[in-house]
Amino acid sequence: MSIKNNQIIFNFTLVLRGMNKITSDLEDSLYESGCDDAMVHSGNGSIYLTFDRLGTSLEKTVSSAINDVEKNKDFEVAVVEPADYVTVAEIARRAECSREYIRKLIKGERGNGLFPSPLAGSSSKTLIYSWLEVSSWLSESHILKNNNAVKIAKILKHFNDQLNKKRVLFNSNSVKSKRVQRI
Amino acid sequence: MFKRNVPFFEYPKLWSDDREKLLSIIDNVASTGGFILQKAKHPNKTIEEVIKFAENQGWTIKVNEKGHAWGRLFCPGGNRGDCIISVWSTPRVAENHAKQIKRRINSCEHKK
Repeated sequence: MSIKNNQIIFNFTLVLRGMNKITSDLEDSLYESGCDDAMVHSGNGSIYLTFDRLGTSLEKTVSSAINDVEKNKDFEVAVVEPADYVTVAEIARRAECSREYIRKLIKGERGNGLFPSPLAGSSSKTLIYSWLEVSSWLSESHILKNNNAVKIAKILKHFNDQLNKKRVLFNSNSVKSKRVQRI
Repeated sequence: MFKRNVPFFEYPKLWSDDREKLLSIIDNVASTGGFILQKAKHPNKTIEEVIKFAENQGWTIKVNEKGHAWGRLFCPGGNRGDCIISVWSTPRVAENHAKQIKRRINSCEHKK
């Protein structure tokens, strides 16, 4: 995040749903819909748009970017990154601490011993946590260096919850329409 | 009236006389990649520097024939991760676009 003429440049990434190949049509469509401040890139079977967008607030800026992408009816935003689901390694990266230190916080060897519980992965090797819960706890424990992290996590989680709700609604509607077709 | 006989310059002969020599010049330049390098230059200086940086990191460049995207950068990992970056011809802010590309190259896990 950097400030320019009372406006802030926000860095965030949008992930496109159901697309994995960059084509000239996709590039042209995104450019013409106003995504000329984003870098289109692919990796691990997904297409991403990394924005450096000037705006007055994170909410407004992310919202305008989603609107720009979805001007084309074929494109749908799946996730806004940095998303809420994080591994121990990702927590260490975002909090700018070592993984070992985060592991000690989880085990209660450091801190007040009340590190948030994982959302998933307790029976497997990779634990998944909520960044909103973890960043709030790290902030309360005065470990987090970035004071805005909790605020940003809250806003981005809100966007991802909304996108998820939209997807669930869309899927249930398509199931219903299939049922109707059968009848 | 005095009439002077000026012979017409024979251009086809000029080509046929030095045909082999002229073709070898084109062959020389094209085979060393001179032709491709000339074509693959981005009009913006800052972005061109990042593209050179990408090349040094083992990324390959494919220039688009038309469209808003100038070309695409392919990571050294090949099909493993399918890391591809689209480079705009005229991004909103060229410096920001250059920074975005550099960040993505540095975070790629398929380094040379």
